[in-house]
Amino acid sequence: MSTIVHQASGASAYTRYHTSTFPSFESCGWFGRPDDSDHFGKDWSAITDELLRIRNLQDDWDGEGAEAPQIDLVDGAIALAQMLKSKNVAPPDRVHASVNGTVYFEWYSPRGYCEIEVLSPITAELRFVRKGSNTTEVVEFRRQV
Amino acid sequence: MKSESDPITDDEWLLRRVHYERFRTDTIPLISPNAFEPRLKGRDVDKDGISFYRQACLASPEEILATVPEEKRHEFGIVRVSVALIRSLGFAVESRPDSRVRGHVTIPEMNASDYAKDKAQFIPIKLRLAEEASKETNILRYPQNVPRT
Repeated sequence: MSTIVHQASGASAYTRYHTSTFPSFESCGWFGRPDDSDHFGKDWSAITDELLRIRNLQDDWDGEGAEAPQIDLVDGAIALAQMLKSKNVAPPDRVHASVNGTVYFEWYSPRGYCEIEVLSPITAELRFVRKGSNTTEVVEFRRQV
Repeated sequence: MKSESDPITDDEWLLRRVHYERFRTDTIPLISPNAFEPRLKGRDVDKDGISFYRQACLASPEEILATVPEEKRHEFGIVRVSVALIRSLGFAVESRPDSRVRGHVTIPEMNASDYAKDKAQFIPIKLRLAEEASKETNILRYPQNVPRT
């Protein structure tokens, strides 16, 4: 297993950390497009509803002692969702609270698996594993506030 | 039924609870890779590795719900992965008896400390576990009466 880390920079509500030649959020093609058949039937409003539900979770929400995500972290996730929607990115196949007080967006496509973990109100990490690969590519993002 | 002290063999199955947040019927794979994410904080940090239960030590898979409050049990599904798969990934399976449920084991390599240092390197592993756990024959129980989006 190995990891490639790209520190990111760019425009929009969430930006990459530093100047980089790494492709822009919307052009990297990891997420798919709304018209991809893989993502048919998904829509961003359902994702936003799910994030609003996550925003109301309390500590021990799973009965196994997990901490609930902080409200400002979930607000950061909602801002990220709005930014991705504005960039015409396909909605994730799944969004959920993690057992560690963070929020995950997950996409599955023939190209591979992509997830974004919202780590704090202003930071997120995108991780992508191409189909058949054991290498995870990572892009770190920081929200402009 | 095996005793907890019996050697853990490659032909055994290991059971894991999966909360409905990471268990959806409208997504492929059904089980999120993050169902195998070590806990870094909260009440039960996975300092010794993520937990599973040996099916061979249990009379019924539902026994592993005993550690969850009764009013929350309907929110959990139960999946299984093989010992052979875990070992093929280069991981160990260690017995760590828990008085609440028989057959408790952990995967020491998937512990909170190592996971916190480099989450990305665990993703291909979590994907492989999720793929195995999502097979119809490896889903032993679905969450019940939970909201879906």
